[in-house]
Amino acid sequence: MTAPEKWGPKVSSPDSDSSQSTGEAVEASPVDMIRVLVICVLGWAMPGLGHLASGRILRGTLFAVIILTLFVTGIALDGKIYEPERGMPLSYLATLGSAGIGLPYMIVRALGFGDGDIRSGSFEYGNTFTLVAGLLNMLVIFDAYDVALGRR
Amino acid sequence: MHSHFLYLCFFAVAVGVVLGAMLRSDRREAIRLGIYISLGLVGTAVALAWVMYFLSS
Repeated sequence: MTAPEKWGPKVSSPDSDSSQSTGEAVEASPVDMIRVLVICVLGWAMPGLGHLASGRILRGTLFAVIILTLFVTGIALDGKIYEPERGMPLSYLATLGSAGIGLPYMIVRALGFGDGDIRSGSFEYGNTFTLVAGLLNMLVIFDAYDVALGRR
Repeated sequence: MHSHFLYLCFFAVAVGVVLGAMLRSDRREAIRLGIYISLGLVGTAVALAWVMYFLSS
């Protein structure tokens, strides 16, 4: 058994893994799974960081710039960052979506931004931007997972 | 300055770029898909806006 590439672009190459050619699921060793988990956590903590850790520099940078810009623009448009509210079940789902962007969510909350201004004409746009930024980052994390496993 | 259409375009381009880059490995195909998604989002929103305009009047 050979040691896995530390931060290489793929866990296993298609040539060395006959299971890929037969369409079977790629099996990763426990060490690989820890690496994949770390990449997913990095991808959650900061948009694009999972791809950067996997060696996908261009794609990771693109994701980081676009998603963070969407999030910051949402804040600038007086959008709010969702928080769980007692008696409002949908706020839990919205919080889950918003928190998908990871550390920026916590930083904005810690700095006291993200309460939103419902009187602003762009309030709903801001809400949508921040929420979709979190949801997009969740998709990006799934993509980073596939990249880390060598499926892409 | 609040331009609803500019917000819509920005949102559509951002979503299109991310989904295009994520769903296609080839750069040319990723750009093409990103453009399709962006135009689709803007076009659908404009079409729905006209539908709502006629329904309201």
